[in-house]
Amino acid sequence: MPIMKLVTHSCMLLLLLSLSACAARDAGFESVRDLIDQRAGLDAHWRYLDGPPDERVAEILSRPVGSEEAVRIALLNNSDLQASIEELGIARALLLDASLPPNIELEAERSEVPSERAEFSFAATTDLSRLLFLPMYRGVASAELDAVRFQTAGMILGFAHSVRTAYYDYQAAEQLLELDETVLEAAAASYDVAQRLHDAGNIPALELANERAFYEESRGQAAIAEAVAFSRRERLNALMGLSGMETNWQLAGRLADPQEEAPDLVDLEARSIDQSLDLVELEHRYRAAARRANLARAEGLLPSLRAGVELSREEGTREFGPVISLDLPLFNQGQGQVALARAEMRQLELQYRARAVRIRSAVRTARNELLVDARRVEHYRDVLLPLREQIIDETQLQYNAMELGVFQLIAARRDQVRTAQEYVRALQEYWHARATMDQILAGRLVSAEGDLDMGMP
Amino acid sequence: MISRRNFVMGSGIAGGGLLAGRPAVALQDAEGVAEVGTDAPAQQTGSASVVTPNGVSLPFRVVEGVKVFHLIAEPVEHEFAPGLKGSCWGYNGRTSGPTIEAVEGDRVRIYVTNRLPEPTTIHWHGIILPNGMDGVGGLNQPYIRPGETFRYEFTFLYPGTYMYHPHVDEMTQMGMGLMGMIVVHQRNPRYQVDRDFAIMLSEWYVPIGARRPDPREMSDFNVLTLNSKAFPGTEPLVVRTGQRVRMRFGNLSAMDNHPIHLHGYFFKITATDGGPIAETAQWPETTVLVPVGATRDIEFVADAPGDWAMHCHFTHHIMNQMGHEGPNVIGLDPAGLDDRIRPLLPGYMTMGQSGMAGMGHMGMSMPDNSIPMKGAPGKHDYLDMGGMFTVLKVRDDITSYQDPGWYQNPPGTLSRQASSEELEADGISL
Ligand SMILES: [Cu+2]
Repeated sequence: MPIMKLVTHSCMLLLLLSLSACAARDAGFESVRDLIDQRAGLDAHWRYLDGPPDERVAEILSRPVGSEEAVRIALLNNSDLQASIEELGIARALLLDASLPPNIELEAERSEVPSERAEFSFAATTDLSRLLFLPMYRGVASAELDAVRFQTAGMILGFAHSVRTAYYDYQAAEQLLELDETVLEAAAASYDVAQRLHDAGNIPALELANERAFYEESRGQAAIAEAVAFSRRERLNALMGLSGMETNWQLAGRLADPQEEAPDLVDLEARSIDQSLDLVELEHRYRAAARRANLARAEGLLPSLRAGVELSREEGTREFGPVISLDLPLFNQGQGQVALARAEMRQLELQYRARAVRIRSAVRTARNELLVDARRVEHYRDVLLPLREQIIDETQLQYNAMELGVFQLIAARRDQVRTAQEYVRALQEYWHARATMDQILAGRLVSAEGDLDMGMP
Repeated sequence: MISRRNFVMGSGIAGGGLLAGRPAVALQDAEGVAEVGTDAPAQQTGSASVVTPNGVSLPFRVVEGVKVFHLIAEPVEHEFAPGLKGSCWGYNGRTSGPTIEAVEGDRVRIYVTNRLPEPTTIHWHGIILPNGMDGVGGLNQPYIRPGETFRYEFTFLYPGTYMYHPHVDEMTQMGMGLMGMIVVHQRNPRYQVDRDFAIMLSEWYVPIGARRPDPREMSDFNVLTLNSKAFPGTEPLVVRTGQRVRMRFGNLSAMDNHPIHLHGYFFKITATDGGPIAETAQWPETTVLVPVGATRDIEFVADAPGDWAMHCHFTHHIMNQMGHEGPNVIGLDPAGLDDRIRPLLPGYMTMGQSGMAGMGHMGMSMPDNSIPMKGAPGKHDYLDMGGMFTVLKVRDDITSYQDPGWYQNPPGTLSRQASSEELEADGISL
């Protein structure tokens, strides 16, 4: 009787605890939402909780789409991202699973000997050791869920970064295409002049063919630029999860001028470590492993225990009493499980250290790239482009003086456009560096591979 | 540098000598004996002093019967024509250098100071003199190194038109402007001339928009000069109707002879730097070919009033800074071309497709310090010439050799557009 009472009471208690506190339906996504908002000013969206995004997407698409709009759409609409966020659902389910007490096993038996009264037995038992260790199982699963929450937050930031850089790439591709079209116009004009000069009898077929070759090459180059812009746009379409009429959105503006100076180096390393979601995720993974180690050790020391009550009638007498069965941990005291969990702990600790080193290095690299790219952009904007303008002006003067001809004048314009293209490429790299820096400071280490290409076929 | 020439003209004319037909004599009376000056040859011979258009004669002093001159070779800032300045080399602050004037039999001592960045010498081209005075660096004398002053001394044995120029790194030093004329007057001329001009012919390459002549150029000379001036920088040659005129040409161009053509007259070639040509051997000409490294004197009586062109007859030598890099566009169909190219190049204009007249005055902006295709406004229309071009202005009754302005053509002596009645009357149908 007292055992029965104990068992029943414990069951009720654990059931209440686990159902009320541990495995809320949002799986802690609200905390992820807050993190994303604080760190990046973005709205995280989980379709499972927040419902389908259709109207919001259509509304954003109705106006020209800037980089931040593209990110917002992608966060709402990219199903690969949503699939990855479901890791949270899975972790939450595992926690739920770990929080529930073991079921009660019922056993009934009846045997009949002729001429005698039938005999029967009826037993109800439960896995008592599982019930005893239930808080520890729950502890492991809840640490894993915490890890998945930070992993998810980091993953969303990483995804936003890929969308942003894909957007810059597309912007750059459009600008490069526009400039290639200007080169093509210049080449067409040059070819036109050459044709007229040839018609007038002033230049030989060789010169005409040279001008034509240049024109045809420019056509080829413009076609390539067009294809590049197309595929960059498609990449964005896929990231934003768009199809059909939705893909007719409009690009908002050109790559902007560089922002303020890069942040100070000393401050930077500390901030990147403080903010790192990767490191927090690893901390939680470590905690889960530690808890697994404790659990394994505890389970190894205690015999595996089942307990319950039995009611039976044998040879006319009724019997009622407790039953217990147990494994004696004579041979396997869980040493293997403990060693496994401890090895995992050591591994995670080393991964943590390695990650911290990589983050520091990455933030220094990002800052350096940001500075170099910003300087390059300024150099193009303040020195090379004005110089090209001056060269056009001086070439125009030399043309006016009849010292240089129209071909050289057009060539000066073409050289200026080529410089403008280098400027666009420098700007594109600057914005990549800027996004990477922002990303690291928001807490996500952008690896060379991996989640950069997330969401892409 | 005194501007003696203007004073000479002014005083001579003011004194009424010109009207008497012997201005130089009048001048001699007005000036008296000059210890330092350039007029002495005129005093000594009764001939007119030499006029170096856009230039001067070199002053001298007489020391114990020797005429002492001083030439300083140095970098100079020179204006070829309005709008084109050059960083050149010259003598005594100018290119061409001052004309050395003396009289047959004069003993001269000429000091030469080198303020160039490299060694130099002076060769007295055509002068018969002792071998050690001939000025070929390394052959006849050591170099005159930067900062040094050398002394030449010899006697002008023969009258005539000669030249002086460096004989070290000749290509560079002459290509940069180091050269000058020497005039040795006859002591007892059989006749006098009233106007005696000395003109040095030379050629340069100044990249359009640059300012330093490039002496390495071999063929593409783009600034062609009379006394280092390109038209419209050349002074007109002003003469009173009826005067006997001599022109002395020297040529120290790098690579070109120049056929100098005078409009309105025929003349005779009377001398070379080898000496006078016997009158019986002179034949009439309208163009005198002046070879590189030679001088030619021509003479004529200016009996036809008017504005008469005088120029090199090589057409490329009467252009300023003509470029050759672009394609020839004559005959190009320009329809729609400006509209096509201006979106790319707002300053673009199709030009030259109908020829190149008027290119110098279209009002388009030009590279700094350049005078491409430039000429000057003329009396009737734009004067579409540059380079070796100047105007001989012959006038009745002038009292000054200042530029008298444009010639007023007597009625009925000026070409004009034909009227349809005239065409019809003469049986010309268009
Ligand atoms: Cu010539």
